[in-house]
Amino acid sequence: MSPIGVSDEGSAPSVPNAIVRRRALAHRQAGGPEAAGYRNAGRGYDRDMGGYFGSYALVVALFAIGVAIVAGALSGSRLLRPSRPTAEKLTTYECGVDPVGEGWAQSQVRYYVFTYLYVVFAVDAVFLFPWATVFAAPGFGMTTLVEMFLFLGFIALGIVYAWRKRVLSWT
Amino acid sequence: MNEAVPSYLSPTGQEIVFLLLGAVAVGSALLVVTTKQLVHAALWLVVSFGALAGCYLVLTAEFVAWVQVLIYVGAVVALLLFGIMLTRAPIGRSPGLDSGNRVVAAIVAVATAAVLVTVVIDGFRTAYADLTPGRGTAGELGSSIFRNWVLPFEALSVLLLAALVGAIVLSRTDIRGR
Amino acid sequence: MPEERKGRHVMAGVLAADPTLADFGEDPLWIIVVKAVMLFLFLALGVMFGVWFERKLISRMQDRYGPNRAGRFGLLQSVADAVKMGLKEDILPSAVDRVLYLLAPVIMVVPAFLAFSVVPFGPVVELFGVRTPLQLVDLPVAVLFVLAMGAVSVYGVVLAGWSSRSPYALLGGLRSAAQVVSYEIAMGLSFVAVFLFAGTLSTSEIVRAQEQVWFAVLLIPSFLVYVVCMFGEAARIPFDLPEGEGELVGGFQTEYSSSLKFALIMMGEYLHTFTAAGVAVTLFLGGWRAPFPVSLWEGAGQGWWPVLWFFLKFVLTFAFIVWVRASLPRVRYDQLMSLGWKVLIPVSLAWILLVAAVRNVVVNEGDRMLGIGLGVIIVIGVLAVWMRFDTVAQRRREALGAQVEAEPEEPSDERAAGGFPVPPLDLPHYHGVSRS
Repeated sequence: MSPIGVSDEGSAPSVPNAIVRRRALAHRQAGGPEAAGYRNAGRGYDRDMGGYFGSYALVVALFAIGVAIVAGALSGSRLLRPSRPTAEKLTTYECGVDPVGEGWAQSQVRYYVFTYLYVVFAVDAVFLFPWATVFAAPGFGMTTLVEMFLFLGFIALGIVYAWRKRVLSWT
Repeated sequence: MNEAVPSYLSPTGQEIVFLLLGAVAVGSALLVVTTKQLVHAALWLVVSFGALAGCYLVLTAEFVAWVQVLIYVGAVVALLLFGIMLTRAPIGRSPGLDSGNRVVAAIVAVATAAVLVTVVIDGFRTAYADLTPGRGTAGELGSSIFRNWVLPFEALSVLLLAALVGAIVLSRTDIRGR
Repeated sequence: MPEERKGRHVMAGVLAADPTLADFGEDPLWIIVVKAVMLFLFLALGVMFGVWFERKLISRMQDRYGPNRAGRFGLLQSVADAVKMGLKEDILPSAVDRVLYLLAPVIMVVPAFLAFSVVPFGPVVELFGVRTPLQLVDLPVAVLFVLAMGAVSVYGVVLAGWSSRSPYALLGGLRSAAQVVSYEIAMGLSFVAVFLFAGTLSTSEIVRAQEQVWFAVLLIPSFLVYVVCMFGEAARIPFDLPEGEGELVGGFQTEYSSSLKFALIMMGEYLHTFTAAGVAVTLFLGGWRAPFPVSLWEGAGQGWWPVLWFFLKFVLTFAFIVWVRASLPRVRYDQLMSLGWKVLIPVSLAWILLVAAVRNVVVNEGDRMLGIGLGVIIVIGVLAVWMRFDTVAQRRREALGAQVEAEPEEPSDERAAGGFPVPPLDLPHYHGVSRS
């Protein structure tokens, strides 16, 4: 369940929608009058079912076509190109000298730390996006701004800590 | 969302897609724990997360779906991959991956799944949520978070900070505990 | 499709050519197919002539001719290269992880062009008698979709490096992943200010929101951060560390011999550059809107003219990327990472807060004092932090200088040829002594 479905505050503003089948009991949805004001702020968020699934069906179709084209090109060139493998050809190239030992380098912990920082900041950015879209809508403003200040303040503490511990310098 | 009512004998296209994606998610999750190659396990996890994102999409939660791709597929699995490459795990198959606690692990997994399924089915029973496109956009989510869910949102920042500090302390061997 | 909805949107389309989200998903199937074919053609021809354009432009900047043999002005050079690569023997090294090795180029190409499908080429136009927005897909979360596709394509690079079973490839893959990941954060943060003004993540509505002023002008710091991230994300010079040939041979693509797989990797990189340029045009440079003096002309936003403006901006952005490639050297990896984490991300965060505080003052006029106070606090805080680090850096630099001063002069070495250090020429392994 998304948080929208679970929270309850008034009934959902009715979206004109003839395509959605209404079966069993409809779930109460979040939003309420304020959210309705936000939605009517001149933007067409009330896409219908066909539009929503149509868009994503198109994305899936594009994905399938892309994979098909690439796979087709790869297998097509297999029919055309010569293939005369020898043992020397099939050795790993590396830097031109015959490889020594196993082709395996244990990676450094700093890659892990940077990816960890990425996770934290990606979560941060993902919360900034919805915040940025509703920020200018009526009913938000100062409170929302202060909330985000607090949130970013904690995150900034994290990056300052990393900075002080010299994790951010690539040594 | 949860199809527990016997009257749904003619599922809609969305429900069929949803079930198929769910099957993909569970199947690839099983492959994660059964494959013999560590990196392949991480990649099967990508498939599983991707199928889950597809489930969200079918439920018209588009923002959550792409966040799932960005955070879980993009960031968390990359973190796992770097974690694997940090170890001395061999490249090919690792025959020693099977633990002796297989049976116990399986029991724990099945029991957890049983509890979750029971709770979900018991909690929603015949509840049927209409799929309304536009309910899962960034704006809707934002108005929900910053109206009703502010405290969890702020708590999350503290959690992230704690996790970040922990990771830094673990990675820096020269920071000593007292 | 309910009739009254359709009627309303057609009306809206007649009144204003600016498409909104509601204009999507109403096309008949054949129009969608036509638009998809147009997108494929644009990208395929774009990659072909993009390669030619880059090579030609960079040659002229370096005072040489560039490709001029295949076809007139060398226009068919890319075609010749593609044919050659398709017909070349494909070497599949015996050590590689076959499935992932073949999968990696596909993962690099496909998300890149999926991301391009949300870029608007123009407003609502008349296409074979049907009024339709010149954009294949629009989603309420389109920009998030672009970021997600960027995150997925990182896998192509990591897997190419890992499955090759070669230390250089692995190192290149790891570096590339850490780089893209770092710059993706700053990129996402640079978008936030745009969303603050546009109030949406949909690309068509972001272009719509730039009717008065482009976001590149309004939000200059965001735009500059994005431009830097664009190079980092697309791994172009000066940030093309993943394939720094001086240290990593070929980086993650070392084991991909010059066959079709290699061509796919190259194509993927081009598509990433295109996507980065397309996003720059859409989010910051006004999308298909006419540039300033032309925009005074009433007809500039009518009919098919916007496609020309989009294309011009797109080509100019791409030419800028090439220009940078011709001008700048490659940075070091530690410089790259510290630029990303110590400059771009903190600057973006502070800038977002500043924009939000200012915007708060503009939007809700009630608590103006508090808003201004917050803005002042941010500015002072940022300045304080900057000065603190600046003094620390200054002190370190002085300490280093003093250390260098204190060190005794090295006695001059007779091996140094004319002041240049050269390696000793009589080490044992040159004579095969150590290798018995």
